[in-house]
Amino acid sequence: MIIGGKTWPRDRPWVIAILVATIAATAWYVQDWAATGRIPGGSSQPGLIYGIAGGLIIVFELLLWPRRKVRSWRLGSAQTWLRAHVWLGLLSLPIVLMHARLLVIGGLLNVALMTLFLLVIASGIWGLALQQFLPQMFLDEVPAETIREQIDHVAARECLDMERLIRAVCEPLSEAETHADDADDDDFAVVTGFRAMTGIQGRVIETVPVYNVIPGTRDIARHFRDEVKPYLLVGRAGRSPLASRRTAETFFATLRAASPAAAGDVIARLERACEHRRQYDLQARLHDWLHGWLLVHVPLSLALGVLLAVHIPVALWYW
Amino acid sequence: MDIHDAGRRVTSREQVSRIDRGYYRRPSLMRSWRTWLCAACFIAAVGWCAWGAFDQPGHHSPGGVIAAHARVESDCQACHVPFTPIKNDTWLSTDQTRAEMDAKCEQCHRGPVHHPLQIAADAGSCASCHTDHRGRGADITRVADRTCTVCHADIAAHRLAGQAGTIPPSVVTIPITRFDNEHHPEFESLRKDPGTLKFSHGRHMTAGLVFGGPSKNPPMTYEMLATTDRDRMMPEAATAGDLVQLDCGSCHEFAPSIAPGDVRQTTAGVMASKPGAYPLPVSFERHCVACHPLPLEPEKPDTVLPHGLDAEEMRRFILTTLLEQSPSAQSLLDAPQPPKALPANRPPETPPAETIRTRLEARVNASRTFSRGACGKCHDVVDAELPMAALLDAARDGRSGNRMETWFRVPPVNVPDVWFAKAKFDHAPHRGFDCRLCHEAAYHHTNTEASGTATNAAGTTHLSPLDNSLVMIAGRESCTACHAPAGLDASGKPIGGARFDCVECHGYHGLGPHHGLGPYPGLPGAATVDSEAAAELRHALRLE
Repeated sequence: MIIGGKTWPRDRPWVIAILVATIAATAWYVQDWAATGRIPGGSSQPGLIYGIAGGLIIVFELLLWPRRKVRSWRLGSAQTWLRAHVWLGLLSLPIVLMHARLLVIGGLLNVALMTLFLLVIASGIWGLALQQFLPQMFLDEVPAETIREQIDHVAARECLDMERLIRAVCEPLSEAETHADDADDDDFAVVTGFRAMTGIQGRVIETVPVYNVIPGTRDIARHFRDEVKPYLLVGRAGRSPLASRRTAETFFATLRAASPAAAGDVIARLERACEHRRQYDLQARLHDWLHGWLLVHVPLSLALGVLLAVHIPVALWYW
Repeated sequence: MDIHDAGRRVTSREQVSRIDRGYYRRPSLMRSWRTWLCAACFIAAVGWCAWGAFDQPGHHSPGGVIAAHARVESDCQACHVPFTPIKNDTWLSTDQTRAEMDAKCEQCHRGPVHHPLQIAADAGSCASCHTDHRGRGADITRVADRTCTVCHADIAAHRLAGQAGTIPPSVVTIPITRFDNEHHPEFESLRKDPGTLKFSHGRHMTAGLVFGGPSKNPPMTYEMLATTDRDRMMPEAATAGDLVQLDCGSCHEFAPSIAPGDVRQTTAGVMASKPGAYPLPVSFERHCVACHPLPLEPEKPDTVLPHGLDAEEMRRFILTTLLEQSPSAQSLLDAPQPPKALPANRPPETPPAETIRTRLEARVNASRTFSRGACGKCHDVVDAELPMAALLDAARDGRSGNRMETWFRVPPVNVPDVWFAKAKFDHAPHRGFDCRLCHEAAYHHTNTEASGTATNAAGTTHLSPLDNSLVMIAGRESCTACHAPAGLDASGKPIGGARFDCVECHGYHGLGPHHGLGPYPGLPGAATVDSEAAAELRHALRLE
């Protein structure tokens, strides 16, 4: 959560300053409007000052990008930059609107510039709104969270662990049913385990006691090969019924009922691996939501900067 | 048994392999998209701006200019000065920048000062009021009220001090903030009729043109009019024996209602207005002479005195006409006196020249007296001393010019051709209304004119329409009934709705549209409108 919560004491001065600045700017603007009888434009005294202020704010907002590229520079903490980016960006909306005669403007350049500005602001507000609740959703719904780019690697690794476990404790499938790539003579069982601490799970390397092959577990190996393994490798993209938690519960309950009681731990581990896979899928979706707005915000901000660089001399030339 | 018991140990390599340590080096899909989109947006923005450099009006103009400026739409420098505010209410504008910008406008447009007492710093630059780039159809002359009331709301603070006597007293010293009955003064132009014409609208609007009690003349019927006048004035449904009933249009004709080829005289004030905005001037020859001919002598109604002559022209016309009616007298007066002959040889007896001169002088005097009475019916008549005409002067041989005779002249009637001196009016959009709505005072009333006040049919009390000082145009209240914000009256009837902003009636440059761009009325150099009818007649008589 970017705004509110534990960060509220640090946000409060910003909020107060932004409100005071907005109210003062609006009051001056309205006073000039009443005095002249027409909506002050960009060339009026308040309009010009708001234009300068808005331009400086936009330039500062654009500097967040290079600032992130050079994290080693001591130019304030990243949190301070982000907080200033958010609040000054919000302040720029009324400032620029008043500079732009409350959108009563004409000209392709002006309209394009204003459109870009509003899109950037809207995407920024959208991103800010997502940042307000998506991180908490991560904590609540994705305790097995990993690095977004590691999801496929981690899922494959976990699949391999499960496959080794199955091979160690389950009856082998017949030669006809055995895939060629399953020929692995490893018999150790090192699996990825998870430890929960203060509500957050962390991955650990866990050893599993392996006894002799459990009789009557050939169906487990078959179901692993046919249903569980594809799902662990591709996730919901494979349209596996295991992507649904309810279907998975039914599936594993049925499998548990048809299997010997000694294989219960193995089935539980398979079920947990599928649950992890579902979390990875959810994490991927949430991650895309959490960062997808940047696909709009950042490129349009760049275009906004270009048009702003043209708008300033043109406006001063023909104002 | 656990896996360690199985004889295998997890090596550190295997443990490390569970983490993809180089993931951050591989481009993620989202990061790749962001990079490509950034590049695309940057290139698009730079390209679009580069295109704008070659199409500046299309990219940088905030909107289309008005049709009159379309010729220079692609030439920004025709109106703009680089890095100079075009408006004077901007932050960095100065007197110098305003002068530079106004000079651009004044290359094509005259922009005379609004008022001789205005403070230069209070007057905005051209573009401050006339904002262009609002599309082809925009009316940049229809400026906001605030551009006027910024000074007129406190006009005393916005006029040069110490020069109050240089212009006529005016109601503009009254604060004006908007057009309604409280914030706008009564129309100064309608305060008093400056005309001297003795004319009763009430009498002329009465059937038979009898009003105000018994008259020695019988009520006028259409058959009493001349043929041409009868054809023009008699309605189709009327008969020749019906009483003449005039209406407003009988005398106040508008240009659009004039038949093609019908040439009319007009005035500069009417000409400066839109066709149909104001009625054409009332012409004696067209509108009055049907009932008010000007015979030289009562017994000879066919010999009429032209209208609009001054004293000398009138005397010359009367003399010329009377002499033309008596060629013998003309030749006798002009010929040298013949030597006296013997009685046997004497030609037929003719009166002596002195006798003819005396008789002619008597006729001239009678005609002058009769004409003076005829003119005085409608006009103020004042004495005019003229040198005795040589033709009638008995001692003309070398002593003419010493004797004076009293003639008369008719001063200008001073009836305004356009009544509003500082505002414009257009009859055309008001044609849907009954003339009474604004000209109620011109209609006949139930009381006699002599009482000074009269009550019309609706029971409204007015001054007599014979009172020359009474203006037959209703005042501000008749305008604010419609030119006000739309609303409902007490009975729920819609009222208002017509525009009521300042420029609906007023101009800025030259005060009003009827004054063109000339100087302030009343100041030296202000134009005066002569009677074109009189000028044409003088020209016809070769008196000029």
